[in-house]
Amino acid sequence: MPGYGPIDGSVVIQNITITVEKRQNVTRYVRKNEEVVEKNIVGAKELVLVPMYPVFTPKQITSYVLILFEKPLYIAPNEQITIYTLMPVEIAIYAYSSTNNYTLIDVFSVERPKYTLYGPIDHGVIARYYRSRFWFTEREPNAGEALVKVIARNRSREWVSVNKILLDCNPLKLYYRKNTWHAYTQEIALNIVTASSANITYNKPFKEDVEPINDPPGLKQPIVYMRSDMLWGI
Amino acid sequence: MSMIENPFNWISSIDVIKILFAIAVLSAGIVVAMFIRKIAFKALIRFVPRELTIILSRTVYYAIIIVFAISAFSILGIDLTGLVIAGGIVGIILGFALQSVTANFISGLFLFWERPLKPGDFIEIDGTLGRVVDINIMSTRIIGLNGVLIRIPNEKVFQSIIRNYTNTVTRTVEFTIGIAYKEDAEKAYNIIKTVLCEHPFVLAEPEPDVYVVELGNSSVDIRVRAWVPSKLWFSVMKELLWRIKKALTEAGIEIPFPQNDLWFRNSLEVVIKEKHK
Repeated sequence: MPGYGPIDGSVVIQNITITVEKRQNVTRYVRKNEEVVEKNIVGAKELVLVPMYPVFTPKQITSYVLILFEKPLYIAPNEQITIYTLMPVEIAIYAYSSTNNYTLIDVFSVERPKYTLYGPIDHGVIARYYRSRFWFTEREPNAGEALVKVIARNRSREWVSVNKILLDCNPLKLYYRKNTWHAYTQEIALNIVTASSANITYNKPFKEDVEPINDPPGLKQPIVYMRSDMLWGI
Repeated sequence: MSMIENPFNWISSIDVIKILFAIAVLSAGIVVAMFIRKIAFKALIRFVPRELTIILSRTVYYAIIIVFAISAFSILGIDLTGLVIAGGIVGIILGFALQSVTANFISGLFLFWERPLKPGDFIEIDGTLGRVVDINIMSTRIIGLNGVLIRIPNEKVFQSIIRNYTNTVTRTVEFTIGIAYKEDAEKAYNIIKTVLCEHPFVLAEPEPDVYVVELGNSSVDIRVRAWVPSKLWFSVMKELLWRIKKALTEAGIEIPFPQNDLWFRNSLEVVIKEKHK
């Protein structure tokens, strides 16, 4: 059954074909779509396909993801609501050795990536850009997407409209269900402080029986707080 | 004479208590200087760059030791007034002689304080473009676009207009594309917009801008203005120009070279002479 997990033979994701051939101790990895990527790996026990933070393609320049809602969500003062939305994920291939050491072999994006600026031009941040709807009930994501559960709490004394949410890949964690294309984040709390600012805390996973991804070496900074801030609009 | 008679007579003239007192003053001075240096370091490191903090706290340390040393010599009865005056005169002479060195040093302090640039920044100083590799107390070194190491005295850096291209997160790529008057300007506009939308690093926000900037002599000039990450400015600019040129050519849209249409007031009579009758 196609999906995340160890690759056996070949896998097709939309118009992308991945082929893995093992001859003695050498594994040949080939990815074909508009371009052809070929890699030879020595001593790999297995190649594993996992969802990945959407900040690697075409080049890693940020750790932020901005999800822009297609329609705004209005929340009254002191109200809270649970919504589900989608964020993009890239797809990564890890090679594992017999001692379970791993390295990142390849990352690609199912969708055409796009970036944006969140905040002012001198102090803002570059973020991966994604437009999505939100729902009040759960739904299953497709390949190249991850389901995000957001608990939005309006702690201000005024009505607010939520148009976007900025996620930081440092405290963010991705989970997947083996042999499916279903990927999830943790439960995310959007604490709205004013009509234009909020803080985000990253809690526990909201799905059971899911595997966490191993973080690629060098991507994440040592995490001090499991939170991030939205200071320039929500 | 008395010294010849008794070579150890001078020892009796030494006041041991004064010497001990002078040593105590000097020792106390060293302890105080070390203590104040630590306090100065801890206080300054919050506001001032580390390199400058080290220099300033060291200066405080030696200044205190010099004051205590002068006091210790005074206790021993050694008059340093002459030395101080001589030192002052030497200081004035050195001040004139080392005017540019001092100016560079002071400018270096201000650069450390103000921090208009830091190692790794891509900058332009007085028309010189390059990446900063090192800023020290006397000069700033940058690697130019051709890979040559350029040393610029800090005084010049401080007095020049500095353009720091990496200090902001984004910057604009701007260029003008001329299309022939016979071409469909709206079609060209849509093609350019599509290329901008499809490029991952042309930022969605702030939105790119495409507009007719001028009805030129030979072409309709379309201005393209897109925000891109500062780190990738040069590579995105190259790619955009190439992709737009390719897309316009594939769509059969002519990018004209400057041309003049000549109109004659009267109809022309062309006379063709037969060469070979």
